[in-house]
Amino acid sequence: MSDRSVPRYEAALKVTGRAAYEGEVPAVGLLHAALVEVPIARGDVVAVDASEAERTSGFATMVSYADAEPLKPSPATALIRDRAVHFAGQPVALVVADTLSAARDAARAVRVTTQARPSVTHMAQALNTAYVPAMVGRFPSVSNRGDATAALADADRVVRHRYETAANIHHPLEPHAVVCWWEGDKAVVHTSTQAVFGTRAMIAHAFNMPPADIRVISRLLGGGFGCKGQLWWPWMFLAMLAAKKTGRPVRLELTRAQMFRLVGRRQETVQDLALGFSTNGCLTGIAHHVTAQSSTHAEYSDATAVYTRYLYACPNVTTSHLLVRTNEPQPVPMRAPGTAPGLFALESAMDEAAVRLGFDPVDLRVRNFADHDQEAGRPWSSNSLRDCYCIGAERFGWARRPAQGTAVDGRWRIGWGMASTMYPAIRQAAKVRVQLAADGAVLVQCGTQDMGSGTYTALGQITADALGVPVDRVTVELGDTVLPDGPFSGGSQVTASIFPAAAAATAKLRATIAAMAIADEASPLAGQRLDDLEFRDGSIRSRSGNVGEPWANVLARKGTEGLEAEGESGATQHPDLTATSMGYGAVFVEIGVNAGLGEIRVRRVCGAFAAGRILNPLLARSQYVGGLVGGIGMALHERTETDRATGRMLGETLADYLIPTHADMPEFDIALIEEDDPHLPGSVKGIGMLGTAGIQAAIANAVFHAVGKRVRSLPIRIEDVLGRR
Amino acid sequence: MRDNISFLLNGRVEHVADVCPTTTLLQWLRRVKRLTGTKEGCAEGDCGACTVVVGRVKGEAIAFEAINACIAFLPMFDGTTVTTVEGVAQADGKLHPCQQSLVDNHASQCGFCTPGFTMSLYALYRNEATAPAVSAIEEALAGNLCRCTGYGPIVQAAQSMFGGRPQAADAERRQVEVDYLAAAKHGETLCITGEDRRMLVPRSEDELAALYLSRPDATIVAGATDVGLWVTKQDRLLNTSIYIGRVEELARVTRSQTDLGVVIRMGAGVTHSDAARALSGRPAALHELWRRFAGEQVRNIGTVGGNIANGSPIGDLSPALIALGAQVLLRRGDERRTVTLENFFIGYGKQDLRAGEFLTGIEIMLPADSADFSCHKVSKRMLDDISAVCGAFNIHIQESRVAQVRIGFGGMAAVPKRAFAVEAALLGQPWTRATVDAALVAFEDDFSPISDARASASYRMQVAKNLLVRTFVERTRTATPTQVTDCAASMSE
Repeated sequence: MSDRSVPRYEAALKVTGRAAYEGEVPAVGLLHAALVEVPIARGDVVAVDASEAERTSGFATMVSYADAEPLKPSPATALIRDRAVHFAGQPVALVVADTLSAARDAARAVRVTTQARPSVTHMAQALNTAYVPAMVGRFPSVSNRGDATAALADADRVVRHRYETAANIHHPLEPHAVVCWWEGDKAVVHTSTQAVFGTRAMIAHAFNMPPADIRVISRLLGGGFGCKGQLWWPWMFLAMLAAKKTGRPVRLELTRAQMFRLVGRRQETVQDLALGFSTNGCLTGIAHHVTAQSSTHAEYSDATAVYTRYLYACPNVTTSHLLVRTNEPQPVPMRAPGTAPGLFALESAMDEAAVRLGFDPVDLRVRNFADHDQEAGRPWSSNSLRDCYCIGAERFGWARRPAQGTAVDGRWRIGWGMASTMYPAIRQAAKVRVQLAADGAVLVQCGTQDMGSGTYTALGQITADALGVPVDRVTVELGDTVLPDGPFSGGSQVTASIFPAAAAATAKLRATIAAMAIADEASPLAGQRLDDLEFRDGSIRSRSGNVGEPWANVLARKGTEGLEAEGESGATQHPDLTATSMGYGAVFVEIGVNAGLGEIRVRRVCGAFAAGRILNPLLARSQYVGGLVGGIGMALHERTETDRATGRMLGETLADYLIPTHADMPEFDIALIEEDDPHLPGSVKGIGMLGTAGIQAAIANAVFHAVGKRVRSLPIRIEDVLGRR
Repeated sequence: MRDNISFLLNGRVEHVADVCPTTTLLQWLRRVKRLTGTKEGCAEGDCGACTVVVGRVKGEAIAFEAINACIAFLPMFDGTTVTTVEGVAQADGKLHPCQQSLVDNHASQCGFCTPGFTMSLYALYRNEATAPAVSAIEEALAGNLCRCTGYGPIVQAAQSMFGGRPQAADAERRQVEVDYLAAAKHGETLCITGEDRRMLVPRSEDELAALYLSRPDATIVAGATDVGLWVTKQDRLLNTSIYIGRVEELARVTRSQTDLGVVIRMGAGVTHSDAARALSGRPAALHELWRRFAGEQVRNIGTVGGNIANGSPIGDLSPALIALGAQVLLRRGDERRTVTLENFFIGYGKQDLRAGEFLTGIEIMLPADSADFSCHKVSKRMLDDISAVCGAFNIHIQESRVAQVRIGFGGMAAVPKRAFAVEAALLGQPWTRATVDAALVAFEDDFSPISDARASASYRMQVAKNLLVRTFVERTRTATPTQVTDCAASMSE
């Protein structure tokens, strides 16, 4: 390929304001919705009285649990059907009116009577109720390899500490929105979701209707990062109920304040981690035990300690996860779920161990490299983590690392730190349809959606490459359940999932055209060997005979309307795998600490990432940089707190919840280490999660290197590095 | 009195009447005009997704600046030009260099913040001839949040957009806007009413004084960067409001020489950006503070007077102004009075203002030596963040003694506060580390800060003290490089 860094497919739409997001879909007779929230953190709704609201101007209707009775009970509908209040600010009804301000006025006029009960507003209040969930994602909650307890007791050196991470909020710039209406018994739902098919299935179950009668559309998403999933967006049901009740289209959009509590959060964790070493720096035992928050209405746990089972070679590893249910919002996956908090603990502890053992942090990691998957007892499909260490260290200049506490730049004390990152490479089932018009135009369709990570671009590029045409000949359609089934956008697996399906579809088309050409007397390729033909520069050509013609000519001569083919690929079958697939990275950072004031600035970051074959280097680089900045936010800024007295969130604005701005952006150097992986179609691994994990520990390790303070709690507060603690 | 407004929107004149006067520009663009390119990300002026570029006449000059449409009220735009993301490309669809550069650099991912970035870049492009330094780009973009790209590609886009400017199209557009601004000038008072709400737009200070005296329950609106939130976030109904942005006297910055030094008088309607420009870089520390004050969009419309009148306990600018001896100029009907800024703040959210009384401006005294004045904003995030602690020091040394001292702090009490006890401990004493160390204990007399999400009480107290030490160290260290140079020179001889 000449230049793989093609521009983004939809970029021109986005810079001109022509990109329409689902909340902006016009609809005749549209009603606007506002949610009615309750202030109590736990209890029951006794009554919802709309009599006053009904008299406000523009009022259309109100829906509440009374209207939700026909919905089938499920975790998805629980918050809609039940009268139970699980957290402060929980919506209990939805009001629709002619205008948004009328809806908000009416919502304020709704009188809700509640019966409050004692609430648990922080994990610490209910540690005695902690329990072990059956699974954390697709992994068992508890693991035991060898005998970690004995190994830690016998170890020459043990590093044992508690690490904590705060609750974070995803905050995509686009708040969740839905515009929905009913056409008879059929529903049309425009909504910002990372999973159009999952949302359709959820609606089908709740309303007990055939999936074919529901169309869910999400052509453009203004970011997701995990919060635009399915179960954590049940408020959509209220809008659908209101649309049904009024027979009119309804639009609901969350406010920024509601984004703090209604659509999930990264769960708060407390992690106890112990690493045992022999004097030669080899890990002999690891114990990683996580306690984390979940809500009282649904269970969710990140796979926080899971990656500790894989990253290093160690014969004795025990891990576990506990959940504590509180009257706080529901945790859900957030970019780099599990790895971001888990690797903060593991990679901080490795740094503490390096200091204790007198090893360079990179050397200690290389020494403990796992040459196969010790947990499953099988090889890696590919693993270039050592190259990441080596190339990252080289580009960062790690060999010149100053002694701890010695580097100064003006009033800034300088520290260097590093850490590893990883994320599983998996695939979901996918179907891709490709249509060729007689004039050579290409249309590729998949129902999966692009949450901003570049799926339009990647699918267009894959298809164009396979058919040997420039990317601007390809039209891409995504984000609609009328299109072929595609995966949800999450878990860094969309590109890897759709690649084989697109490859299968385009292979069929190439074979068809080639067969047509060979059999066509009028073609210069008549009688050529099938395996000698290639698709390049818009043409089908014979490699050896140096003859060919535009493949559109082949279609035109046959007078066909065009060709169509569908390709299909399956999900990763975890039990049957012969090799484990992960993406890896090593992150090196330089920070400055203003010693008198405690301010921390990240000055430069070098990330070396190995995640299979890179389809579009520019796209990959921007994914990594975006992920790293998200990680900087988690390390230094992002925390949402619950007022323990009331259960309300403190400071529900972007002025209080800080996400990084430009000025927080360090200088980035991204090394893309490409891998051939015979186990993976096209050697494609996901990349979206890698950058967001690891950097938190790298920053904390650099803080220690700069000022000798070990911070084991995220986000690092300015006072953590100032004075004695 | 006029009951309607007009402005130029993307090159076409819009006339608006019968609109609720607290309709925000963003609501009007998205709901009435169906121009949905301009996004609502937060409706509180924090994210910049709603950025538009506004052209305004300012005295003799014309300025094109980025502002947040989400918290600005529609009547504020009478007689201005407004450009949204839909109006940036050329008529034939050719992308503007700022747009093309964003495309070329992969600077848009999910794209929801992109219109806002496009407009901030468009403003930067119009106001700069060549690519500015990265720090200036960061400043221009600090009011725009992005959750996907990590910003790097956007900064690259900002740097590369200046190559090959298509002069003709830009000049043509500018001429249309300048002609409109000239033609749209009028001296009429506006009274915009809709949905039982009313906004009055007086044109002179006398008119404002009379209006407010007769309607003391009206809400005064300047840049609306705070009042806008009352409407969008708290759903407060401003039944009657008075917009002061068209009162010419309040938009002036004047400089006068007095026996004591240079006095700067800033009208209550002067924006932060205009104030910073008028002071042209002096004192340097005040400019550094402005650079870190909110984001560009807020500085372009928010006013110094509004920042004081709303009485935030942090009020980033107030500690600096207190240290600069700021006097608040007040007027009620025809009565005028002056109070010092530190006395103007009475308690949390409470100021020394009587019914019908308003701020006409403030006066500050420039330090004789720019180096006398320093301020330190301590915040977690570098730009666009509220400070945990903000300290400002105006210390004049004569014959090695502290001859004059004024110290202001934000984040240390319910109001921005002057550190009288610390000042007393320093005044007249020799300017030495021993004096500074001895003065530290006085902080405990001046302040008892509280703990909140930004910082703990003990951190605040420690940092406040450290800031005085830092001020001492930085000022005494200025002599060091000279000594080194002398030393090196003598060695080479």
